[in-house]
Amino acid sequence: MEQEFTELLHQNQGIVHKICNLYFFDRIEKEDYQQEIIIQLWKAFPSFNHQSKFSTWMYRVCLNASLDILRKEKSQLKYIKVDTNDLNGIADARDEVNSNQEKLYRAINRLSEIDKAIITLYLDEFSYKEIAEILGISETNTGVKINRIKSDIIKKIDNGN
Amino acid sequence: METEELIKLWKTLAENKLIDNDLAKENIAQIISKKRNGIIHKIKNKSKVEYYIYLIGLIFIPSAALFVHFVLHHPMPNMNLRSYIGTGFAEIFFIYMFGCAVKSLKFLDFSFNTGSIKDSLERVKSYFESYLKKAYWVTLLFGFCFLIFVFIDFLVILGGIGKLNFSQGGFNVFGSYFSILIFIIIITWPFILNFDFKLRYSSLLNDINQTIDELEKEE
Repeated sequence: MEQEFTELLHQNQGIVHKICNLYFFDRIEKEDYQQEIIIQLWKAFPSFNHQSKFSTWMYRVCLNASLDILRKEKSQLKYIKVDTNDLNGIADARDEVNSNQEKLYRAINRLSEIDKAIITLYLDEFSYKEIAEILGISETNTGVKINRIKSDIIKKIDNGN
Repeated sequence: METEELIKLWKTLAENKLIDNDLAKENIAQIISKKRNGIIHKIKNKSKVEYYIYLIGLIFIPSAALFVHFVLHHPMPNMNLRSYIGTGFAEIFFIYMFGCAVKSLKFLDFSFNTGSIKDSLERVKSYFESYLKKAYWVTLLFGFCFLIFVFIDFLVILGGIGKLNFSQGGFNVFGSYFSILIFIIIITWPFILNFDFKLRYSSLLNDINQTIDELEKEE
């Protein structure tokens, strides 16, 4: 089982990196968060029944684990500092494409925890049905939320903010 | 900008900036075999220190009392009913705090990762609300008993309500003012506790509620 898990996680590791980079800003502790999410994935792996795609299941566990970590930290009165170096790293890029990347990154980072999850899943081309299942809400509601967040992000990129 | 362009932009961003390091298979194997480096493990270590402090406290108090009584074969100096009750309260305090430390460790162990995000949030909410409700009532009752005991104890030492003295100096004045202070705390205890609980936990509960509302809200 461990070998199968390692193989699947290795193939889909981008999901862990993306979520860690969008939800946690403390660069020093980012590795800790990544490890915690991998541990949570490993603990939850027996519940993966191969009926859905591994990436869908992995997104659900990673998002839950991230929100879980944020709340447990808050319960311990430990606050997360925003490391602006991460944003500056992205802001270093000067050409048009990289400028748009920077705008997209900033726009996503300003979203709420839930909106961030929704748009990340949408941009990673999950279907409305899959997103609705991961979130536990209706497909209609998912669609409406996606349209709202998407137009908001496009507006921010086009307006240069 | 069209949706397709946005998705393309996201993919480039993810590849260039978000997927920042290559996690080798050996590293994954190492992480899941150790299971000890996570951030929750670090928070848990702090809670474990509290757990052991209260455990030592709750073992030490009755052990010390029993040692004095049965090994040294004499009652504690000036031992009377009030001292017994005081020792009992100290013991109850440590048992209560020990219980809180156990709960805290359980909370850190509690995992919400298998259901949908909404289900997980609702589970956290219900777990947290039930924990807070129990903690509130236990603290309220224990606090009332303890404060009333201290109040009565001081009145007994001072010789009754009629003997309260605010002008002559010495222990009587301190005792009188202290008794009044304790009386005020008894009256305001539920409000103090309510304020304390709100200060400590309301932001976390509000945060959970807001996230659930945000998920449920049809737009």
